[in-house]
Amino acid sequence: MLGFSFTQSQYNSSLFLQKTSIGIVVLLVYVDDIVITSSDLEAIYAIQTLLHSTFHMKDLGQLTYFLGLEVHHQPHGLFLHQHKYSQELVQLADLTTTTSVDTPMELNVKYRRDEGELLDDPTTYRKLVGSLIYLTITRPDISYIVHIVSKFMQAPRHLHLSAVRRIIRYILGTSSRGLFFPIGSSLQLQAYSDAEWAGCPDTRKSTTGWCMFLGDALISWKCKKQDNVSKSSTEAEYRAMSAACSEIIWLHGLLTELDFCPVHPTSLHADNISAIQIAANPVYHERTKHIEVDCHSIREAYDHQIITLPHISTTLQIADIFTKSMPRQRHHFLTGKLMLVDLPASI
Amino acid sequence: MHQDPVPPSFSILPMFTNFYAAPVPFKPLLVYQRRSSITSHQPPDPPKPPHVPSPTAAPVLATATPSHRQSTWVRRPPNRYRYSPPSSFTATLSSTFLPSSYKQAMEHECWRKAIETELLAFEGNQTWDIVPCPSSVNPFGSKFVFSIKRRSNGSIDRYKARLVALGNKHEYGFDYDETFAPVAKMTTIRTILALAASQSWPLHQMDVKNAFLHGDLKEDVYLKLPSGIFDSLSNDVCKLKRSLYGLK
Repeated sequence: MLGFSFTQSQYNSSLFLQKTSIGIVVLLVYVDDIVITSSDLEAIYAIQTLLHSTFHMKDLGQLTYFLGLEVHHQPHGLFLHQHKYSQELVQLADLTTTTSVDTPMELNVKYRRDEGELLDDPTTYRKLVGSLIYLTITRPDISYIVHIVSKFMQAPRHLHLSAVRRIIRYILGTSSRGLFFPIGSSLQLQAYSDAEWAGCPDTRKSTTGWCMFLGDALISWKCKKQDNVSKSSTEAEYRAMSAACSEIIWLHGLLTELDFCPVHPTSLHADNISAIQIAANPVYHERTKHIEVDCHSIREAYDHQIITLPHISTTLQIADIFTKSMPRQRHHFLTGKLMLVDLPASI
Repeated sequence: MHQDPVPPSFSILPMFTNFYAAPVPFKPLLVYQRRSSITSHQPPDPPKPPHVPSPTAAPVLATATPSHRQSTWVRRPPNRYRYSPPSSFTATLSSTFLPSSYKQAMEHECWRKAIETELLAFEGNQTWDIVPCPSSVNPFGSKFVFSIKRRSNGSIDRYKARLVALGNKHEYGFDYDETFAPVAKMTTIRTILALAASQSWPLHQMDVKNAFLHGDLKEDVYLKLPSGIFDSLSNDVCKLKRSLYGLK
């Protein structure tokens, strides 16, 4: 679609860049929606005129609403939230009149594949979970429980549905919560990784959880069931670190392409000392020899000084929120750490 | 006061025209409701006074009767709720029904305009040539899909008609090889936004009108003339030069 002196990013095919002597113009294409940003306002206008001459374009001015994400420009930074979408979701679930809850999931409850009665109509369940998955774009605080309930899309049961309803009641109380990207924060990448060993009661697979900050802004996170069964918690942590490491390498590439090459190695915080030891220490132990070779890419990244591996105590481990259910206080503490803030009532 | 014969769950219907396009009406999730378990388990068909029409029952009937594939039910809130919609809603209630065919749409001014706009866009883009049908090809059908675009307060923004090709008859390798849509990863979007925020860069947004029509087609795709629009001889077809919604 585009030919005018833009180059396509290697790291994301829908990202287009134009580098000039003044600065860089970034064009982000999402099917028919385009976001333009640049260090230079004049350059943006130039591109807009250029695009206007070729396509039927509608200029929507400053970015405020993009793919259901609402963007607020505030004096201290950008605020990204999905308030309208959450409200529609609550209405879809017919839960507008219920009371809200403080945490998205109950403590110490394991959801199993075949517990409880099958739902007569799984479509509603699938519709709700699908909407919740879209909501995780700005709500990392629910991504762990959404990852759990989405495991049961195939054959949802009543117990699973009650879990979904609880998430939506949590959303009801916090619908204006979203991510905050502060102005003038540093561009140093920080990563946290954690794992929940054998967390899935059906398959005994572990869960990977990691998140990354660019300065103070949370830009990337993941909560995913691992592909293989791990025999020890160290191994599960190690796999999680390896997954996080791949993302760090990708983000490094993306940032370098945008001319913000990270100067320092990224610190990947983990709370498991033995996993750190395995990654930093080139000795194959008896108990780690079955971990696949590709997992050892993390060792290579460490050797090339792309990452460092500081230890962090479990209480300060932010990625904790992606691997377990937690009590109210801890949940609030971690959502604060994730730079998740509520929209001020004035807006 | 006569007793309301409809279960309370239906009272949400007038609020959301979008959500009940599906044939199955939205049911409340019965099992975990503590309240009103008696009312929600009412016998489904309580005796009704004969003079009360039951608009909400219409879609259920329509799906149950195999001979009626498309409901002709007009979507509006039943009067007996004495539902008083916000003022922006009242003005538009009469026109909130979505036509399902070109013929139905042409009966209304607003939809006729929407179709015109869509056809003008095709002309401007030179989407197709009208050629006699080659004997070896079997052209695709096409239809109009109608929708109402609303603003965030529920008032009507515009009426939209979109011509789509019935691409479900497409065969891989024969009609198309490659499918592609430029979709950005959410992480990339967040990274760019975080970067723009930290550097205080201005952020602008643009929207491509009729985005699909900008895709150039490599394959030969023939489309039957959209019904009712052109009074043409039966042997003519549109040879598409640009991509169309519904194609792969």
